[in-house]
Amino acid sequence: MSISAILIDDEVHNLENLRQLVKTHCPEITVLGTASHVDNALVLIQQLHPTIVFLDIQMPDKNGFELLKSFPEPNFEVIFVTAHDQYAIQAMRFSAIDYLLKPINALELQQATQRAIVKTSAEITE
Amino acid sequence: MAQINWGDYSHSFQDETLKSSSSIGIITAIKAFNDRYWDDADGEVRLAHFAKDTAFLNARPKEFLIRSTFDTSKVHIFLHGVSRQNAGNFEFSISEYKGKVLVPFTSISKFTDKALEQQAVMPQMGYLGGILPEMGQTLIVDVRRKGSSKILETVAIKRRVLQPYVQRVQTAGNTKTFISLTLPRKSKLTLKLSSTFQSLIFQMENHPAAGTEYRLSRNGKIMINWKRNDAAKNLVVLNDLKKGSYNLAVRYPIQPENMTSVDFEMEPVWYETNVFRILAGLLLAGCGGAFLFLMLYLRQKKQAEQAQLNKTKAQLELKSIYAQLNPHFIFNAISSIQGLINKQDIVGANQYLTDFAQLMREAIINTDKDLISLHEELRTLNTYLKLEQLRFNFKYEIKVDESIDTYITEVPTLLLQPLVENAVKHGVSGLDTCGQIGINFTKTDNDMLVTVQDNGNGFSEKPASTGYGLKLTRERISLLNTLSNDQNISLEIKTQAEPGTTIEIKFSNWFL
Repeated sequence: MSISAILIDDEVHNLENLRQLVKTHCPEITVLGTASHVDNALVLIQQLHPTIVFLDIQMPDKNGFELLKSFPEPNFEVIFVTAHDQYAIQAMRFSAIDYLLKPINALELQQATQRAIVKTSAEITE
Repeated sequence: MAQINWGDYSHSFQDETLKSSSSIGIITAIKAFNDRYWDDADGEVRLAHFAKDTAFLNARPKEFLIRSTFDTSKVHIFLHGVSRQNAGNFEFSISEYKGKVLVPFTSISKFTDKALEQQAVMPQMGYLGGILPEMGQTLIVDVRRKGSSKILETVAIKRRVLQPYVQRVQTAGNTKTFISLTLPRKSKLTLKLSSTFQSLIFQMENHPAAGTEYRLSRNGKIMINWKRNDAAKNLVVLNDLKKGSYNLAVRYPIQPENMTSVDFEMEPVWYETNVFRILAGLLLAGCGGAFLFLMLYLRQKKQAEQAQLNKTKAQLELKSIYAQLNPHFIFNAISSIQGLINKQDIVGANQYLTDFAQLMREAIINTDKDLISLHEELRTLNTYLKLEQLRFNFKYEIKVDESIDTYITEVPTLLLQPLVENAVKHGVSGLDTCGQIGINFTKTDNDMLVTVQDNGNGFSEKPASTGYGLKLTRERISLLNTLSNDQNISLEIKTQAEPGTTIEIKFSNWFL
């Protein structure tokens, strides 16, 4: 079973790093695309319908939460990836699967993606 | 002769005049109400009048009538013992005492009529006339036998000035503030009395006769027009006196032309005075002014406090930006190291870690400083660029104008770092060895101009979207500017310098 994902981060090398980590540790996940801006990410999600969205929170102009407000009933799972830990409580409100801190711990990344996969499978089964 | 009503007159004569019907003697008839004004001293006054005039006295009988009159009615002189039958034996004269002769010795030609004789129960008498001396004048009527120089009978009539004298004034109704003043004998008096004394009693000289009448005016307007004294003959009682200028005139009704006038001022009590009112007004105005001043002062103080608060707030915000800046950099750096490790670049990861450690050391040392020397900032930038160079292989150059003393010149800690970071991440990160970053420090007059230039793709999208670091830097600059009055920092992104991006930071008045 292939799980699709898109990565959203304003820093290109972070995107590269995350793509590398996902490729290495979560081989069942296919990265459909990356976006370094919320507006781009919005279009990307609407076009590609990813299962998981890896989302940075602090980005210029619009942050990750503002992106999620565009999807009142999202059909994707959100895993926040951020260098900051002060947004964790806010992140919970968006029913995020997990809240990963940079630098990314590979084990945490795996656990987070597994949870997303399980949740998605359950929803499909239902 | 004029008809007179004998009963209306007061008659004076000497005792021996009425001894027999033939006794020669003068009878005076003076309007009866004059009697009421004759004082006790009248007799003495009469004697004193002629006391030293021996020539006058020697020429006349030892005892003779001396009468005073006050009003303007005539004094009628009758001669008892003289009728038409024997009138030819007598003659009379009227003269001014020590003055001219008004009527030289003349025969008696007028006599009383039956009607009068019946009224008076008198025999027929000679009538010498009705006389009225001028005020203060004494008229002398002498009677003698014709051909004789010896004066048989004499009467002296003096018209006397009768003027009341206000002897005392005292307050009534308020015993605590009782005053009693003896007034000098002067026709016009001026008193000043506080209006707390609402009742005043004016006491006239003790006169034995009928009382005075008085007239009261206030501020030129007559309040009480000639009125007989109510309380006693010699007292004028005035009640309910408000503040104002009063004039009290008193006179004897018999001699209305001679009045005594007392001016008195009822002074306002202290709270009624204009001075008090002005003072109260000033005090009120002063209070108002003080209140206004206090309000303004408090407002200004509040504003100053608000300004101080804003300043403190700005400083706190700056601190919070440091707090955001440092982790932002740290975690990105660590992410970079992670990236190197994941690329299996162990040597690079080691080098990076070492440089990162050095950078962290510098950052930790400078973390609480608002300003650091340019020298230190340059060292940190250099370390940082070396760190990033390992990842992206770009070239960089930092040039500082020789006129800038890097040890003395200070800059806000880590202000430039995020901009350099942007030049790396968004500028040269994709260019590999072609990437170039130039940082220049130049001095123009008192200003320091710093340019951070890269030859990357520039901000192809919106210039504002150049990362979180730039946003933080802008916020920090604006806060630094609110804290400083004379120094100013401005940031400008120059996109026209393509390829690449140039960011200019101007430190105005930096070398003052």
